[in-house]
Amino acid sequence: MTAPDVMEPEEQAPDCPPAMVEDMLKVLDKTIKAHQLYLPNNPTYQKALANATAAIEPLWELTGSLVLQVTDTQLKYAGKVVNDHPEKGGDSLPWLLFKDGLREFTLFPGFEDAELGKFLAIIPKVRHALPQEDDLLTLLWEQEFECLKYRYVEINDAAAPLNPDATPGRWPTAEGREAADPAEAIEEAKDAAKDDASATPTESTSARAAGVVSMDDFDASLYFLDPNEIEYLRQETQREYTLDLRRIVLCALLDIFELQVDPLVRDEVAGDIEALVLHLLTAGQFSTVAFLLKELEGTLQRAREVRPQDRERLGKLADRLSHPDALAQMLQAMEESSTLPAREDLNLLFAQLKPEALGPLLEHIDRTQNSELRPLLESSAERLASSNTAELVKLVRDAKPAVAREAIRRAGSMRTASAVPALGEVLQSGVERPLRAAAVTALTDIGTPGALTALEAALMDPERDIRLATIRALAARTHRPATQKVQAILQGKSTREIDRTERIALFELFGTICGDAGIAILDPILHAKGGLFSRKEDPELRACAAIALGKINTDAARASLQRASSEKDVIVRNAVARALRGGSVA
Amino acid sequence: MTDPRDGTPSDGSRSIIARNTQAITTTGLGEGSVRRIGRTWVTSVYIALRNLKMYPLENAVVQKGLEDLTNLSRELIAGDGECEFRLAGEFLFLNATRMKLDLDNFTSFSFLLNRCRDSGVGLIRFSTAPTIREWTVLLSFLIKPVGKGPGERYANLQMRLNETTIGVFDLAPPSDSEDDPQDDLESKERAKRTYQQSVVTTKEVINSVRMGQSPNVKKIKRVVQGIVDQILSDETSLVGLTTIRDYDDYTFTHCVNVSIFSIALGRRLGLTRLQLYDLGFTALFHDIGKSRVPIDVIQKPDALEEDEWRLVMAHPWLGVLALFQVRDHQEFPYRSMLVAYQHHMKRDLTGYPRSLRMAEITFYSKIVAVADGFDAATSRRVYTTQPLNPAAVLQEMRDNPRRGMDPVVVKAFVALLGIYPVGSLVVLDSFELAIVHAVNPIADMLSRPIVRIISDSMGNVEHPGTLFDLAQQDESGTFVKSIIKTADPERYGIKVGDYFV
Repeated sequence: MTAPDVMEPEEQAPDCPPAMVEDMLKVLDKTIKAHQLYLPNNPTYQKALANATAAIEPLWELTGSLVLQVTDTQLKYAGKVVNDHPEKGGDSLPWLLFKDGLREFTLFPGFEDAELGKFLAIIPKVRHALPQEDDLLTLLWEQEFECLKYRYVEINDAAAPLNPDATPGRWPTAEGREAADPAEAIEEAKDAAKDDASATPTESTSARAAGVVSMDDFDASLYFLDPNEIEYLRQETQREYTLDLRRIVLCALLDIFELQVDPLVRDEVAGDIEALVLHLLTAGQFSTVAFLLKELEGTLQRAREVRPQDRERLGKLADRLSHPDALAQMLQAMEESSTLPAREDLNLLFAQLKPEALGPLLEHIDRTQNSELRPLLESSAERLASSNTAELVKLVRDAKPAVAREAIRRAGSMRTASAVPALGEVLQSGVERPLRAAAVTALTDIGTPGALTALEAALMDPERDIRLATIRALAARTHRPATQKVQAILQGKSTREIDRTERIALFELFGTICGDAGIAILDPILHAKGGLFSRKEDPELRACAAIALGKINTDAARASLQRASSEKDVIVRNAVARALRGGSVA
Repeated sequence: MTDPRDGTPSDGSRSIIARNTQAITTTGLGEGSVRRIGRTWVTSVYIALRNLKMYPLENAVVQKGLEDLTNLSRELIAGDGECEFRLAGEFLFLNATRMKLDLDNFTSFSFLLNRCRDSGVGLIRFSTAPTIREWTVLLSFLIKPVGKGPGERYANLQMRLNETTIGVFDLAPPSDSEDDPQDDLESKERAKRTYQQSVVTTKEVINSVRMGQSPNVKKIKRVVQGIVDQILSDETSLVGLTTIRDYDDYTFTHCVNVSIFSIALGRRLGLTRLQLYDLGFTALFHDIGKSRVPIDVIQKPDALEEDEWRLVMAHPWLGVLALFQVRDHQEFPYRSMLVAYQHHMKRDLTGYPRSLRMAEITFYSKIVAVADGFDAATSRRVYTTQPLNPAAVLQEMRDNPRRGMDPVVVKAFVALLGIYPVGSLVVLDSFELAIVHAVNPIADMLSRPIVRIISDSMGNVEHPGTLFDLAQQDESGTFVKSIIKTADPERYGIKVGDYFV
């Protein structure tokens, strides 16, 4: 129990030597410092705590309580200074206690066991408290200390006596009231009692004078709570503390805005909503912000006589939240937060934001170091992009590579056909390699004829990996329109310059898409073993032609392969044999 | 300033029982341990009593309950040297440590409290652990008390224990609060100071908001903390002060009164200390919206014009806007906003203000609605020269569903204030005038409160009067005095609040 300081502290003969108390407070000072410097599991802090406990315990052999008076610079025990800090502020324990009004505190046995830790936790909070935050007295009160009691003074206490001039028990006559004689009440009661005695029971109930009571009217059991009612109250208490208070307050504000036409009121409500949104975002209540944005649309439609400036102010709230600067702030806050919002909450919020929010979101996805946040943002980005494909397509060409790369990835994973022209442009624009590679993947994922046609541009890409990925993608989709282009490459010089893997892939692609028409190209290559008047080809290139013919796998193609089955070159002979068996290249 | 062990003043004015028991806890179990074991002990007494009432003694459940109780008693004695169970008003003390009441132990506490009161027992003490047989005998006697009133039942209980040669228990009747006038006086003094500070601070707060300034939240917190502490230590003194109802400061005293009623009701409902603080804080602000209604409308003595009514009826939603001026830890007081907004809404969400989106009313709004309705109806205001009779108001709140109040909360409120609420002026069948001082702690005596008799049978009013328990019976079992009529204290110039100061 706490109490305002209404009495002077009593003079007490010291039970403990003041020096002992002084030593204990020195140890306590050190423990407070240790608490500030170290985590609770740190051995240094643990030792300091043990020291403090050891310093307090012996006091209880000498006294049942330790009363300390607090001044701005000193703590006193039985009139003796036991802790002196001439400087106010800083680490001074006396000043810390004094400044919020505490004037005396008393420790009781057991403080060092269960409550020292709670006390130590309060000290830094008070030391660093902002003016509007809870002060020492509130923090002490909330902890419900059982072995620490204190007296305090109320700063600027202005309690005035109630009606100091009043006559006890009677209203002042100066108020001009005509008070009836109290004896009248008694006379009325006597009359009523007489009437009641002479009347029949029915009459006494129906015609009873005002205020006359019958004990028969009262069934005391009516007022006892039964188990169901107790359970109801328990549930109601729980409900009170699980309610989303901010959302309900928001509902109230929206109701006020909708129903009150006074422009001043609406202006104030709009300001309150804006302030509340900031708190909601800070608290990570994204679903409530989403709810607000959704509700605002309906509210502005239904409300009567909304001034254009109010409509503009609240109607543009989603735009303002979608602005890259605002969104970047929010995403950074999430990045640094120890608790992440629920996926569904985040999705709800982004579903309410404007398409422009997608860019900053994609940029943050690329940048985030938070592995738990990334999937949440990706999920939100996917939803936002799916309902705003035009924005996504726009972002494929974004000047920021991080944004463009994420947009390209998203376009592919969402198979956004409308992004194909933009992706094709990316392949031809000579942008950095990762973007081109991402565009190839995206076009492959989209996989429409248009996408594959756009992909053909990558067959000429300067990067081997991009070309290889393109070749394989086109082969996998049997993209026949690319036959001419692939044939041109095969017949070009570059075929001889590329590495074996790419060359095999290119011939496989050609064999897959060219049909019998390609035999006329491949057969001469396969059979170019040299001799009089005939060209001799590299055995590896001939082996590739065999592989391609194996892919064509028609009678004509097999006939061409049969003719080379007795080839002397081991590489070619093996390739032919494998092609005839229908096996793949090792 | 109070001693942590017994909740009584540390200046030497504590009761004899508390003085005797201080030594026990100083050297024995700490308060926390006593409280922890005590909760289990109270529950085990409850279980043992209930089992004995329901099953034969041989039943294994009965035996197990008694065995648990015996073991726990042994544990308490091993730690503290003795076990002392004491009733003080609404509170249970074990070895001078007050047991905390919450919804988890509500049933067991109330059952035990009522059993003891019915039997006229206010204290059970033992310094050696009672055996199962000894517990069986005592509890059986508590279940079936013999005699007409608590006094007679207590005498019979002592006699029956003597006959059965059970001497391990040291029993005593409930201590009368009047036994220690110093305690009573100090409690009243503290209550008065708390009330005064609350009114002054509320006035500052409302005036700050009226001027468009941000009020001093720390001061408000301190006020609510003070009310919570006072209600937890002595509910009657502070609830009694709600009858002051200052004519000129109605707006401010009303806010304080609603906060007091809400906290007292919340305590009955088993809320924790911090929850009571939340509730009291919200209740204190429930009418903050009135600070935005022109003062001449609020204080207009004549009937209000339609426009003026509209302004008054705007105060709940104006309260929400006003509370955006009040910040706590950089955060807005959302709970207070909702109570301010909803305290005139009915359970079916009708009432005012009209709401389009509200799906439910918060529990605290329901509590404050009841406290607000009662205090407003029983107060004399500028435009209500004739306040309603408190008993009639309670009856109306209970019986008229159109009021839209939560019936369970109203029921608990009646249990808090009694059928004749604290501060009611009543005429007794002895033709004396009396003011209801406190609800009777005996559960089935709600219609027989403790009153302060303030006049003789000729109507000569005296101050401060004398306390009288209307549950008191004579030797034949007839109640010594009963209420026959309620009266309006204003009409007779009786200032009820002064009898609580």
